Amino acid sequence: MVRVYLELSVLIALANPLDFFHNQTKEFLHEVKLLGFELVSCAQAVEMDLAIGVAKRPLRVADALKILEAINAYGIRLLLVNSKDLLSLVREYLKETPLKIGDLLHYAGAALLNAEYLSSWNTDDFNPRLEKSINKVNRRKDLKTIKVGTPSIVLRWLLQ
Amino acid sequence: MSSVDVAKQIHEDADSMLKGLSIEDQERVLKEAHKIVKSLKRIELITSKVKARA
Repeated sequence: MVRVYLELSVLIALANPLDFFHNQTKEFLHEVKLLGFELVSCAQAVEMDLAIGVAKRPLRVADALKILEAINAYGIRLLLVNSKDLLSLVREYLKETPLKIGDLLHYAGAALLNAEYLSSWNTDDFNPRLEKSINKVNRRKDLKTIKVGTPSIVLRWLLQ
Repeated sequence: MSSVDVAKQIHEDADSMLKGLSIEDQERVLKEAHKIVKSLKRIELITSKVKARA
């Protein structure tokens, strides 16, 4: 089954009805499910995000719980990967990209979960230019290459 | 802050927390993050049970 990976910005937008991307995110998830594709995210990456978010306060506890509730309500599978493999892959990505470890946990999670698409509203850190560097490592490691885009762009690809 | 700004902020904080650590220490941090999220879920369960009883 085709897996579509959801990065943190998509999960936050989904959980917050007042977010600019909320309605587009809901529509995106609805369409992806209608097409029969699987919505996934990496448990370790998301847990790290939520723990840090609450500890450093961009997220309140209520926000973190709403995100977990939305993940459940929309049937997004939060999947565990091998932590050592995840962190080793992040190290490889660090050699090829200027990205932060927080971003790379999601790229690595998507690769280890065999996702075909990674969707993010954060186009500064998740875009086709960085996709090239990530996939250079993925090919070297015999992992699936990923296509990276906003939910709107990923949906266009899925509908082609 | 928008979803994108919040996500960027969190990923920057994660970076400063994990950078320079050995893989073993990073794994320990991920384990602790898992425990924190489990605790948050338990807190939610307890408080919603209490509110339902009230």
